[in-house]
Parts: sequence; C-alpha cells; structure tokens
Amino acid sequence: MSEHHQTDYFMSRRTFLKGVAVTGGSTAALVASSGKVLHALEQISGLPDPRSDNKEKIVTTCCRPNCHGGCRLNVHVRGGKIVKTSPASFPDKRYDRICLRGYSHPQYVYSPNRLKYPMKRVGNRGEGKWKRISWDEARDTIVSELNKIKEKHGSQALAFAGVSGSLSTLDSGSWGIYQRLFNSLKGTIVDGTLDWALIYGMMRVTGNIPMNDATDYVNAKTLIVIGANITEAQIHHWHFVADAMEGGTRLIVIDPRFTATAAKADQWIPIRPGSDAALIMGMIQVILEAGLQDKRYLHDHTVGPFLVREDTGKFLRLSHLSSEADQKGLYDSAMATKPTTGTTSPVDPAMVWDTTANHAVPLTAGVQAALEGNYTVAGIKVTTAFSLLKAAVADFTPKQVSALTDIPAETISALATTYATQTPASIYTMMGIDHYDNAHMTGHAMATLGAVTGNLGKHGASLWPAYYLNEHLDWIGYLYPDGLMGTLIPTADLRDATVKGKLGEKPFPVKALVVSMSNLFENAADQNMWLKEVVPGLEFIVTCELQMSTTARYSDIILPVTHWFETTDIQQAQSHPYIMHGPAVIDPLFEAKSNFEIVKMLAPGLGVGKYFDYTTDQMLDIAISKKFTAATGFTLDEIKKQGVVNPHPGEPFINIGKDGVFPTPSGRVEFYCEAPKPRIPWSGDVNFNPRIEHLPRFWPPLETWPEHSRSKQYPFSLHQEHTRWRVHTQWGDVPWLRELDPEPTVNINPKAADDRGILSGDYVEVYNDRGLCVVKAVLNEAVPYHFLTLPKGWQKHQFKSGAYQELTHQKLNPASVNQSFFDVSVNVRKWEGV
Amino acid sequence: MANKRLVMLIDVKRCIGCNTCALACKVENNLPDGIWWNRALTRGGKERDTPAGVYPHLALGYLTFACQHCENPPCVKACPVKATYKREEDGVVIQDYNRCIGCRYCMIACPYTGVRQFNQKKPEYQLAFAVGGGGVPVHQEYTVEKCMYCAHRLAEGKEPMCIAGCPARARHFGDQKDPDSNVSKLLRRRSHFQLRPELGTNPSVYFLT
Repeated sequence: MSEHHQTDYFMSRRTFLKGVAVTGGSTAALVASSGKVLHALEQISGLPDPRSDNKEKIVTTCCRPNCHGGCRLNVHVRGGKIVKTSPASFPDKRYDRICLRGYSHPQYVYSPNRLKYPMKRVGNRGEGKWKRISWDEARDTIVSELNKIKEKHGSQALAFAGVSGSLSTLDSGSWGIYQRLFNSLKGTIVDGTLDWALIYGMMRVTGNIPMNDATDYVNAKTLIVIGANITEAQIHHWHFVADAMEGGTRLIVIDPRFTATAAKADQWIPIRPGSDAALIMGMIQVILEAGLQDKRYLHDHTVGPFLVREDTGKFLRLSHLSSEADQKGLYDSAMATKPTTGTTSPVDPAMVWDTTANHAVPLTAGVQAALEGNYTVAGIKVTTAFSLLKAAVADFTPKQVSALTDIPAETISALATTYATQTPASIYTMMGIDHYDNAHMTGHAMATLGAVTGNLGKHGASLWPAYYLNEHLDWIGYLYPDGLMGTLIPTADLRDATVKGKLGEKPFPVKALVVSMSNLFENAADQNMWLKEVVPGLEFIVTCELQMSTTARYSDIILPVTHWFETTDIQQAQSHPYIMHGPAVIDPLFEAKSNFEIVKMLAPGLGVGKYFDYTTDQMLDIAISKKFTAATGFTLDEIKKQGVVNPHPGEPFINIGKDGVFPTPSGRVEFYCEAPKPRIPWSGDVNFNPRIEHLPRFWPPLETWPEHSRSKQYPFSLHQEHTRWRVHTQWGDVPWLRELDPEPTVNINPKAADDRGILSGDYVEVYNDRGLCVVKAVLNEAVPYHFLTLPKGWQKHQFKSGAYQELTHQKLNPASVNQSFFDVSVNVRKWEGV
Repeated sequence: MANKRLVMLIDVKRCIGCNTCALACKVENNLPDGIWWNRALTRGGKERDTPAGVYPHLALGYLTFACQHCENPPCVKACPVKATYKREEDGVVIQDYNRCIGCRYCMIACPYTGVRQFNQKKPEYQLAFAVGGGGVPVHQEYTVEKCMYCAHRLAEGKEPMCIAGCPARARHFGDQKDPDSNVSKLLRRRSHFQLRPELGTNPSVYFLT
C-alpha cells in the first residue's frame, strides 16, 4: 500500500458520496447512485459468481461491537465469500435479533478500506505515506522500539489504549489479551475514562448497578427512560419495551430531544441538558414531602437509620463510644454476619438510635431504629443518614427544580408520585446523562430514589437494562498473570505523562503507545490535544486496526487485524445473558492477524512469551474462571458444544438486591456514602473533596448552562448523538449505510437556524474556543433552541473541516474521572468555505 | 380467483424507522448501488427523522414503503409487454427483467411513487461478487425493478427477508385468505390502514395502528 492507495480512497469516496443524494422522508423517487465502483478487492477477481453456486454454508457466530446488542448471527458463505447474514436463534427466541449494521457485514468485511498488510510510516505522522512491510519486520521493529524505550524510561513508558472496538474474551479492548500483555510488562494501561460517571455514582450507593434483564420490563407498571434513545441506540431492546407497553406498562421518556423513543411514549418530558441530578433530587423531595417513601425498605435495607457524626461525616461506630459502660454488652450483639459471604466475624458496627430503649445500639435483628432525628451519643453529635438525605433534598422543591430543569413543577410532582405509587417502577438509563461533570451525582441520586421507594431488586423494578459483563472471565488470573500489574491512568493523565513526563510531581514518562480496539484519537475528547500534544509527545505509536482509522493515520506502524468473522472467540455480550461461542467463519483476509496472534508474536521479544505460549483454545481456557465453571458447569468445551449457554436461566435476571442485600460494605443501600473515593487513583486526586460526596448534590454542568457567562459566546449545548448508522466509528465507511446516511450532519432547531440565516442543507460551522466542525444542517424541531445534536462516529477525514471531537475537553471530574463529552457549549454559524 | 392473498403487515406502533428491513432487502436481493426496494419513511417533518409540529408540541412516526402488491395494480395495466404481472396463485406482483423494455410506463402508472426503481445504467456494485440469496434474478441495465416479496424465498417456502429480521417485531407476513393465519387474526384485532385506499388499488400491505 502506498500514498497512491490513500489518494484513490478519498477520491472514490468523495465521488461516491456526491452521487448519493437520497432524500429523507419524501416519497419522491429514490435517487440512484452514480457512484463509481470502489476498488474491486484484489483477491476476489476471477472467482465464480456466488449466485450460480447454491451450496451455501451457514456458520453461526456473533457480532461483537459495543452497541450492547451482541446479536447471534448466521453468516452465509457461498463460493468462499460471506454473502449475507441473518438472525440466528437463541434457545429463548425473545433474544433473536439483528439490525441494519448486522445485515451490512458483507460490505464491512470486504471493505476496500481494510488494512491489508503491516505498514510503516514513511512521511510525517498523519501525512498518509506508508510503506508495506513484512510481519517479521513489523515484529522486530516493535519489539526493538518498545525494549529500547523500556530500558531508557522504565516499564511504565509503554502504554496500551483499548476500549470497546471488540468486547469478547481475547479480542477485547477493555479486558482482553492486551491487558494481559501490558500487565505482564508492568506497563501503563490507559483507562477508557468514559461512560463511568453514572455507574460510579450508582455503585457507591448500591455496590453495583441495580439492573434487571430486559425481559423483565413487562413486569413494570411504570417505565421511565432517561438518558437513552432506545429506538436509535439500543434497537435490540426496543421490542422488549414495546412488549411491555402492549402489556400495559406506562412509558415516560425524559429527554431534551423529541426522540423516536419519546414519540412512542405515553408521556415525553423535555428537560434542560445537564440538569438530571436536580430532577431526581426533586423527585426524592416530592416523595419524602408527601410521605410516599417505603419506610420498611429504608429501615431494613438502607443506611437510613445509621447515625452519622457531625464532626467527621463518618458513621458512629461502637468503638467510638469512649466509656466501657457505653460499650458493655454491645459487642456481643455485634458479631455480624457478612451478608455477601455469610461468614460471621466481629465488626465495629455502625450505630442506630433504638426507639424503644432510647439509646444508641448496633442495628441488629429486632431493633426498631429511628429513621429520623438528631442525637448526642457519648458527647458526639449525630444525625440519622435519612435525616441528612432529607436535608440534602429539602431545597429541591418542584418550584426550585422547575427553575433548574425547565420542567413544570406539577409535572415533576406527578412524575415523582407515579414512580413511587405506580409500582413496580423501572428506570431505563444509558449514557445520554452520563457525559457531564455532575453526572455521578445523577447516578447517586437515582440509586437513592430507587431505595427510597423500594424500587430495587424486584421484578419490574430496576435502574438499568441488565448489562452482562463477561461473567465467565477470570478477571485476576487471566488479566494479571502471576499477579503482575501495570498502572491504570485516565486519558488526561496520559497527556501529562507524554507531554510533561510526570503525573503531578511524580515522574511518569510514557513514550510508546499501542492502540487496539479503540479509535483513541477520534473518539476521545479534545482531539487537538491528542493530535497536537500527545502524538508529538510519543516516540512510538502502534495501531492494530481493521481499517485506516484516524488513530491509524497518526501511527508509526499499523498492523491489520481480523474482522470478527475471521476470529474465534467467546463473549457474553452485554444486553442478553448468553455466553456465546463465536467461531471464525472465513480465513483472515489479506495478511490480517487476530489480536491474540499479534500479542503472541510480540510477547517473546518483550520477555513475557511464557504468558502467551498457548493455542486459542488453551488461552480461552485460562481466561474462563474456574469459579464460574464450578458454579455453572460451563467449561470451554461445553460452551463450544452448545454454542450458547445461559448462566441465568428461568425468571428474568435480577442483578443485585433480590434478597434485600447489596454488595456494599454494610450490605445495605448506602445513599449516604461513608467513605467516598475517586473512581480510580489519578493525579486529580488532590482536588477530590470527600465531604461533598456523601450525599446527592447538584451543581450546574461545567459549560452547558444558560446562567454561565460562557453561554453568551457559546449558547448551544452540543450532544454527540448515537444513531443507528454506526457504532462509534465502526461501520463508518460501509457504502450501503452511507447511501442512506451519506455525510456528517447537525440537528438544529429551525428557529435557531432562521435567526442565523441557516437553511436546510447549508454547511454550518459548529465552533467554540477549542475547535470547529463543519457539517450539513438538518432543521429539526425535535431539538430545543439552544441544543444541537451531532450524530457521532464520523472521522476527521469525513468532515469538510475540523471534527466534532475538537469541540470537547478533558476536564475530568475529580470523583468520577470521566470525560464529559456532552458538557460542552458551542456556537454555530453558516460556513463560508467551499 | 387467487388461491392465496399474501399480505404484509407493518405495525406502525412498533416500527422505529431503523431501516433494518431496508438493509435486509438490499442485501438479500443483491440490489445495485443506489437502488432500494424498501425504505423507512418518516411521518413527521420535511426531513428524515424530524417531527411535525413546533417544539415541544411534536409528532413523529415511521412506516416502511415498498411495492404495495395491489389487488388491482395499475402498473400491470400500463405495461405494454407483460413484464409486470400479478401472480394468480398468491397475488404477488412480479417484475420480469427479461421482458422489461425500460419504458417506465409502470412507474408513471404506479401511485406509490418511489417503490419502482429504474436501472438507467448497467447496475454497479461495491463488491465484486453477488451477495444475498441464491436464485435472485440478475439485475439488468435499462429495466425497472421492485419488491417481489422475495419470490425466490417464497418458492422455498420462506418468508420475505425483511420479516424475521425486524428488530422491532413490527412485520408480519401471511395469507389473508386463511382465516386462521397470524395476519388474518391481526387484521381482525387491530385497526389498520392502507396507502391511498381511495384509488381502489387495494394494496396487500397494511399498516397496523
């Protein structure tokens, strides 16, 4: 491959897109593409027309992106070519599905944009000049460069970044073979730093996300969707919601945008972007004010009755009582059974106020504890956690919350009453409300809301559609061989480590970066930071990719990786409980190798060959947890034999809280978080203040808030909308999909457009102080005046100018350590360029 | 008298306009670049996926749009060479590329503008090999083509490709003349409409509401 290839690719793509002028919505003749045929693939010319060969081979495998779908697919092969896909059956047919992207796999597999062989950069980074090299040369170069850097700067100088480009067992950007490699090297692993705020906020309250399987929505009387556009971004879940609605479930959608999901709902509640935590806190306030809380649940299953010390903010514990007399006899009852393990051991129990005896005691069976009140115990001023919660939400009256959310006060009251009384009630949330500086408080408040109303751990009552996270994995033995462990750092720290060579004051140079299953320089926030600071700060960049991504373009060596249908792996894919064996369907195209083969090839030269000297099956066997096998009986052989196995047969799966016990230190819902910690240790820890993290709190987003002075200059909130056309940047160059969705767009309110002289179809410049992005305007009443949505997943080379990720920033909240992709304000104007 | 009346039901309460059915059709029938027999249309604003109304008083819906396989198809009457004809045995309106002379009278006669597509040029493809189902007729230059309810699949006793893959479970297919068929039951139970019923074409595509 050469520069010539690159040029041709752009030419043909542009010409192709120009020819495709498909009009949406109208019934006018569907316009034919005059697109010229992209490169015929070298290796397929001269083959017989598969049509004439009716001998079809069907291989059942699975699709492995991060749409959460994890669809089981039949891949149809004729004449050695993948000619189509179709939905394959699960034992429980309710999970059978496919989507438009799933159908488009033939063009994805045989894309002319596939990387064909290893290449090394011959021009400047990003210039697009490449020279084909052999795998041997690629291996020798990478090994020698990495070893050189390690010797000079230390093992932490070697970093790996991977996210969700594949989410299987070996082939996983987040918990796969590269984590094993970089842990064994004691290198650096770049944390995704995304999609964590909401989850982190919930987890510190309930220990894990309270989630039920999607088949459980039929059991909900009320279903509130907030931060999710199911009909676009979780197509695989829509029919479960539709089934529930047919069964009488009331669907309420809270979204700034009138999505198709909102259009299907019984009620749509528009909300100001970034104000979600205020709404949830307002719902709690309404419920407490009206006395609609589940008092029994609060007493039995939450830290509500725990006494909190005014001086330290910690729970009052038995050992805090200074006098022997105070303590006398109480330790006997403090032999506690740890709910999660069932073991009995002496603990230092948290104290509650016994309403019968009128003094503080450890909370044991039979004690009637006060849910509310201030007390003084052994001279220490204490208040119940529930009273503190009540105080924390006291100001969030419907009227106040209305001013923050733009939702009418009566709507807030009615919503809260519905959630508390039309039960069981579920919330379906996703990442639409995650990407804000204050988003972990939304999660914290939401888990609290569930607990206050007892809408947790029951059929029809959950906060999230069950997300099955490779339950078969041996997270320790597989990812940390011999206990070897690298250092996990967030994206913002990767910048400091490359640019400054230190994290805070601690020297921590990172000089080499290996990327796989991530399009880091396109999907991470603040693209200019990556391309102008991090890239120049790195001595060596290797990208393992299917296609010529933005990240690959800025690398020194690129290695061609196999498509999922060319790689055997095992995965439990997020939105359904099945663990699937996904066999390879065809041989790798061109010189592509699987990620496992690549790691296996590099490891010996890096001195860690022994951890990878296995066949695929042997490696999978190591990756499968022995505990899991003992609990379920599912071995690798069994999974292969059955194709799919379900560790949760029977009733719809409930993740936590079914027995009223939660995986928290106290076994209860800790809406008062006693010892909050940042999600991961990082250089921003110095800014972490635990005292503001105990209870739900609301502060406005960093940028997208009308009262901020920044809003004068940049009055629009910008959302990167997940559409059906791509999964992040995957499927971005599939011609069938591009015929229907040819180029980057932005949705703008017609009045806002009119005020700026913007017409439908005009190219507009979306800009702020960090960068710009030129896209086509779609005038869309679905978005309010000061709100733009920009469908995500286009890459830098697909824009007329700039890229939307130039507009975002790396300001990470010290607690959630998460990229706030949507906490971004911009302005928009007609583009003057051509 | 036809033996069967094969009908397609699209539940617009469930349809989310995702175009999965459009892709299923595109791949299964190895449709040339730019040719779509089936597409999701927005019921709302002027542009795709935009609602009608003014924020926040809005309405948005979808339906999918392909050949209506009319009981009284105007295209059949307009075709001078019998390239388009209705099968007596099941009511499916077929397009025979070998007979078609590309006069496009059928496209003018059809009141459902857009469901018939014309190959002005030699069909072009991004891939150098044919995809989709075996037995799909070869697309030809200067011919009209359209949805044939996947006649090649019907011949094997299978449903059209767009039915089973619908992730919304919004599509149904069957014989309306069989009172016990799923489609007959649904048509009895659910309110429904046809496109432009005033024309008397009596489409075999029904939209459940």
